[in-house]
Amino acid sequence: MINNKISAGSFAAVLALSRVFTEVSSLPWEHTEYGMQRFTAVILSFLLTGAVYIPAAAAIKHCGGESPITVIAGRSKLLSGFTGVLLSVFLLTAAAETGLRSHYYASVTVLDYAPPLYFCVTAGTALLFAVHKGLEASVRTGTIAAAIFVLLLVLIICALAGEFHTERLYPAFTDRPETLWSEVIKEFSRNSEFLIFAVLCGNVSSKALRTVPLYLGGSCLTILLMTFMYNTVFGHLTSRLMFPFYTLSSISDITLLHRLNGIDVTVWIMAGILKTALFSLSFGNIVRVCFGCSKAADIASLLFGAAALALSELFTVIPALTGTAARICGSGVPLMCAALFLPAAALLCSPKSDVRTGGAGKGTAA
Amino acid sequence: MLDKILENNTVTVRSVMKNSSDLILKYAKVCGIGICVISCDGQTDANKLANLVYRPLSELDLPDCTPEKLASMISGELLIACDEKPVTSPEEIVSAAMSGFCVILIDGTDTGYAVGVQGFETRSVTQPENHRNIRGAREGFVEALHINMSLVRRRVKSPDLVFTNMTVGKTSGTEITVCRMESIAERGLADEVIRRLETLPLSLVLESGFIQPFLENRNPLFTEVGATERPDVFVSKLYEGRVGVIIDGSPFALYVPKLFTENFMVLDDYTEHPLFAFFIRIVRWLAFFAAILLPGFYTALANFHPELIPDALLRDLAAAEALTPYTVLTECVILDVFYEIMREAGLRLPSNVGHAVSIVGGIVIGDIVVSAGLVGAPMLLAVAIASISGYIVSDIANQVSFMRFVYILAGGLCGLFGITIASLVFCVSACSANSYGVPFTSPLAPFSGKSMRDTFIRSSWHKLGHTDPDIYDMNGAEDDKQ
Repeated sequence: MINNKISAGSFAAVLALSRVFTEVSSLPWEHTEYGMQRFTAVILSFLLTGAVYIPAAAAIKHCGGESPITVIAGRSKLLSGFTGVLLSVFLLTAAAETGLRSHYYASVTVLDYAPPLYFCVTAGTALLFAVHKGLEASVRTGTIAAAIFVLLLVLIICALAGEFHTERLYPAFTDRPETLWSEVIKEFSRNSEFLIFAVLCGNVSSKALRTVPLYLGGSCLTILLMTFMYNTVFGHLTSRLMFPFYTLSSISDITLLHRLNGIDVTVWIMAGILKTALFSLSFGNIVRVCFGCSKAADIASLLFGAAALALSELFTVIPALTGTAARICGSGVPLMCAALFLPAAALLCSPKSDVRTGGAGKGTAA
Repeated sequence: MLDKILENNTVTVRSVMKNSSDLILKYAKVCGIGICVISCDGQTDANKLANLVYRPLSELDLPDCTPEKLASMISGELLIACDEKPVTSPEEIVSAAMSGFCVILIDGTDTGYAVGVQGFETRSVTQPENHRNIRGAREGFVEALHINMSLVRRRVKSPDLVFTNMTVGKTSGTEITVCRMESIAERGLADEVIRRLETLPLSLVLESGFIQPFLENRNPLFTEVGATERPDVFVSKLYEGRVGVIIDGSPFALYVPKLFTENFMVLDDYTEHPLFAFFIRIVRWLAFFAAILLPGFYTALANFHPELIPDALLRDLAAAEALTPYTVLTECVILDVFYEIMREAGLRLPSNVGHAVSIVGGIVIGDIVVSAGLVGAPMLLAVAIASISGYIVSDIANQVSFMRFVYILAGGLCGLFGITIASLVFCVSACSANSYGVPFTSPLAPFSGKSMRDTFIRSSWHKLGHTDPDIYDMNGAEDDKQ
């Protein structure tokens, strides 16, 4: 199921879509603050994210395109097991958070606060189907969803052409310096796609490193563009908003777009389910590589998807648990742990011949 | 194996054929040596048989003739037909006779000679029924294999076009031909197609649809095997590096791999100005989405999201639906199922009865049902537009019908959320299909910029003509090659 090859461009598009999904589907406790400071926060957070990707990219280059977990698994069973457990916990947390976002976003837009079981059954079916069909299918579907999103973005920009008030942009790096770093960390912590990249980069057909600049560039530009649209359309009068695109399309003067404001919801729900599917497939790869259970990997992926949805439903009914999980995820600590541990372990575990040849490994994560 | 005694051979052949009435055995003596000409009634042309076989043999005059001399003369020196082959077993004799050959057996030799005198009745070459066009040839494939091969060969007078004949079906013994452009098609692709055909487990192959599932990769919704009635389309597919299969008895030739975007391309796109081709292709895409989505979307909006409908339209829709006794979903399902019944009836019935069905459907369903207040007019309109739009992409009309029905249920039960989930499932299903190494959804996903010249837009021949198209340019690795 998972031993398929994807192209770096498609992989980057899906990761960027996943990142933007996190941006547009804000949870109730994390209203996005729009203002001039947000430009600075976005740029700083992406610089931080870029810094996170550098060690991983260096490790991948050093190991000839193999994913860090493959290198670790090839050297030490103990370290491989530890890596597998650590990544599994991070992946499950990120997947549950994604499921929670999808559910919340769907509930307050098109599902109209339908019972949780309703979402679980329908979205769960689609999720398990995507996991069953494998990495290629999920990534290609994500590419199509990304293309629809770009078209939607163009449509929204066209529709709002008369609404832009550029005088609302003013030269200021920060409005409230005391909140800048918390915003930066919050933005940074939303890049959980790093886990998918670190686990699945071995499945990219060639030049896996091309994913990094494409993903970082694409997602940073998109989020900056969204921030620009928000600042110029709403100004600083409405600085705290929940669903950027949903609101943007709703305020458009063009009736068609106003009436089609459900379309972006469909894209984001698709993106959320696909992102959870990618997390599930990543877990399958961990089971295959780190724990050496190739036969159980497919079943493990499916079970992981179901568990992530179940956990997300648990989050919705236990607010205290949800708050704790949100604080942990929003601190960026899990992301930083994975980003530092994985490359360091991979570099330590890589065979000496690789160091001498500059990385001539041919194996893949599959 | 054959015996040297003629009588024994003919008895064996009769036995293999179970004394079938259509087996014809003509005994004669040529230069004093007994011969037997075996043929199958209805499979041969009597004139050809008389002029190409009987007359030359009867006029043969060999001094001191022996069976070996006569055999050597027939096989090596006598020019009696362009299609000749030796046969050495009763089974080969029977197979050749049933394929339109006559087999000459000579007393005293253990080898027969099959001579091609095929003359069975065939339909003449006419315009294709299902793939019509405005400009271009009016020739379509027919049921006879050799005529179809000639239609292809006439368009590619190059030794690069290679035919490989095979026989499939243990009982039917259906002849098929695998075609490819040797320098363009990947050798592995042709080998894989031949391997699958050689291991075909069927006893009876009557139509291309019988072998199509064995060339597919078990995708439940989308087929990765193309079928066409047009020789010009078939040739263009071969020129792109695909492998084709022509089946005796079927006017539909198959080719692999097939991509999803090909359903929106027709031959006329390449004979018209690129601007008009672009316009009509966009219309086809819109029609496809209207065909699968419109009734489901209408049901979803009416049931769950009326706020998305403009106020004036919403009032009209509400007024129309208020007069009907059923829910919107029930109405939609009833109308869609009834339309499918009408379509099926229209396809199977004789044309004169089909008109009656059309009248009943058009007047009774279209007018009386609405005026009686059983179904709302807007719903009827939505289903009708979707049904008509479905025929614009006729190659996937069945898939469109199925998807429309699923969307109706999803939209009616779960609203836009259901539409989203159904879209995701269909999308994943299409994206998971790999047709012989080429992603079914390419060049859209994975994206191939080079192939975009002939996907939504159709570039002019000045640009398209400079490079040879290759289906394997779309395998998603393009961006990695850079």
